[in-house]
Amino acid sequence: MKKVLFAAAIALGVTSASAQEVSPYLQGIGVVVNNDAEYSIENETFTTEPELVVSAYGASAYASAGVDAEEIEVTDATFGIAYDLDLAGVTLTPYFEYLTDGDFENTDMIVGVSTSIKLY
Amino acid sequence: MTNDKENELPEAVRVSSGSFKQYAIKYDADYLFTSQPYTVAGKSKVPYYRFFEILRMIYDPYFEDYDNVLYVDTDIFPHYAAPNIFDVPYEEVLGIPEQHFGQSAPGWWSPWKPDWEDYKIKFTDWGAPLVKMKTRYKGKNKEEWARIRILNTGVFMMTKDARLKARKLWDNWQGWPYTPKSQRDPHYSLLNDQPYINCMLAKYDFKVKEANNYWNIPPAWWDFEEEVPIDAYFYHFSGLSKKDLVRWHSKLGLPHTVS
Repeated sequence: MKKVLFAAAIALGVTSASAQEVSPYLQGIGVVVNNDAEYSIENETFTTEPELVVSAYGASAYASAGVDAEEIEVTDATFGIAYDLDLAGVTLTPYFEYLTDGDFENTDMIVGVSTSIKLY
Repeated sequence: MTNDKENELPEAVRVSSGSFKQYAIKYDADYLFTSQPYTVAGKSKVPYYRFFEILRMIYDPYFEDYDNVLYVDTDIFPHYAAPNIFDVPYEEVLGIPEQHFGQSAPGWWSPWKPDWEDYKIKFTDWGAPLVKMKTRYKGKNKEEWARIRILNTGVFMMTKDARLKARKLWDNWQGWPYTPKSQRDPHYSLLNDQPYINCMLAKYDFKVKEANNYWNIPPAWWDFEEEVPIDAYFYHFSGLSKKDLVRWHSKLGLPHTVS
């Protein structure tokens, strides 16, 4: 009987299939940190907007802050909750946002629905 | 056979391939390791396609000389005293159900998980029955029957007849990573080689040996903090730090010195 052992390291650097095998307590839960950094050529200002998003089973909660990168000062903040509804290729996401100024004093509250349509 | 860039590979890959090379020599098997793509899968830039390089064992004429081909991922190493897996009797395919992985209880195939629905839809769309496991697995509160059999392809063996049968019958895998626009995007793990292979095994009624998970055990079974390993033959560090593979290999993959 002729036999061979075959190993291929082609998918190096790609998350393995079984990387999903996290603790059952964490399954379906995602934690993401985003950051936008931009420089305004006209105003010569540099700002960043870090964001933390925690999601589970289509629901998500997020917090973001506008930061004056030169002064290292929070200029405004947003706290929100949202829920994704999948309807035959169309994703409706109702959301609620609580907006504050740099001192975290409420400036506005927003209720909205965002729509995403998958075309292909 | 090895490629000439072996020294450029991560240490964990070198440890894994080196230990399996010794394993192959010990049990009189040939050994093929490569980090160079062979199939369109390995060369492709399409997301997920590279995972399908495992199908080389089916489509590469090189393997036609062999009665048995054992594929192993490069994040696995054998225990230094592991017996010969080629001695395990099987008819066409040998694999280890993921439901026997510790992380899978209650698991991705539990009815309350949305992933289960995605698996059901995908298999049904591709014309495959939902084959239940022959063996029970330990679920959340009790032993359960899995609703679908998912072999982990990290350790996966096929006979020559099974490989030729697969080459003749299996559907074109290149459509597998895509999801119809009418469906939601599934978890990425559904789009790689493993569910595809399991779907084809079910669709074309391959005779599957559900081997003991000694042959493919992920360290989540272990008490990592206490550094207490579990008895096993092949240790699979899927989704875990590859530094841990190197560390544990020094404890379990090398013969201990008797003082």
